[in-house]
Amino acid sequence: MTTILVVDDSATSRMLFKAYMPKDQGLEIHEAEDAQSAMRQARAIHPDLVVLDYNLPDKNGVQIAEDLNAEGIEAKLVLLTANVQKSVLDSAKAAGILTVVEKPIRPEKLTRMLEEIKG
Amino acid sequence: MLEDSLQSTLRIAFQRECRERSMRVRSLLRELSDMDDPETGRRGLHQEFDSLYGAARALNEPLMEGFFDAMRRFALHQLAASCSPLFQQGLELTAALGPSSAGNIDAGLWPRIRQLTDKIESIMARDGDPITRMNQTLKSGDS
Repeated sequence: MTTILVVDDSATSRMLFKAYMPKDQGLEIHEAEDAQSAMRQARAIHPDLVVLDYNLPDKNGVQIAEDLNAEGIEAKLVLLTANVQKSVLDSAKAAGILTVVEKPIRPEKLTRMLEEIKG
Repeated sequence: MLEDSLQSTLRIAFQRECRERSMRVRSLLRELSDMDDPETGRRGLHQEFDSLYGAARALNEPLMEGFFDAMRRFALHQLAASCSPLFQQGLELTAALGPSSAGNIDAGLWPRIRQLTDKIESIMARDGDPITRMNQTLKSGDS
């Protein structure tokens, strides 16, 4: 069982993410809509993977990644965003984010993301 | 290709999100006049439209994506804070995208969305990209 926490303030984006994730890989998907909820859930469920949107109401996805690292929560981190400016990519890398997936969300992108994470 | 049932579920979720966020924007606009720092209010407006932009992009809806991209940037413009007619029109269109009894988005909205997007884009082209300015402000504030 792989536990995934998807953090996005758009309910539509979270729904689409869940719909497109493979159904045959024993994935358990949890959702959070802001940084506060993400941190609370991460402490409770210890996810294997955290998928972060960039623009969130209280913090951005990179800042959440930094908070997770600071608390010693050892999840693999992915940024799933429409914002792929170089400054964002650089800060994501510095925060230990393994891969960045650009929206629009597509099933093949999520499959590739899972393969990269496992590899 | 999305299955019809999934497509329908996602469209309803998106329409619901349009309605909810348009209500939050109205509320933020009411609070804006009392704020000491209007920049914070404008960032709140920006956040609501940025979320709709992200959702439209995730759903691969180019027309909506362009509209909400224009609105999220326009929200950072001083005109938005003063409730310009264009911003109000954008807000009304966003609310009109909300769930209807017919279950579909009114086809009459599309040309209005396209027209408004073009008008806002021309203002942004004239005045410079406010997202770049916001990022520069945040960056200088960090240092």
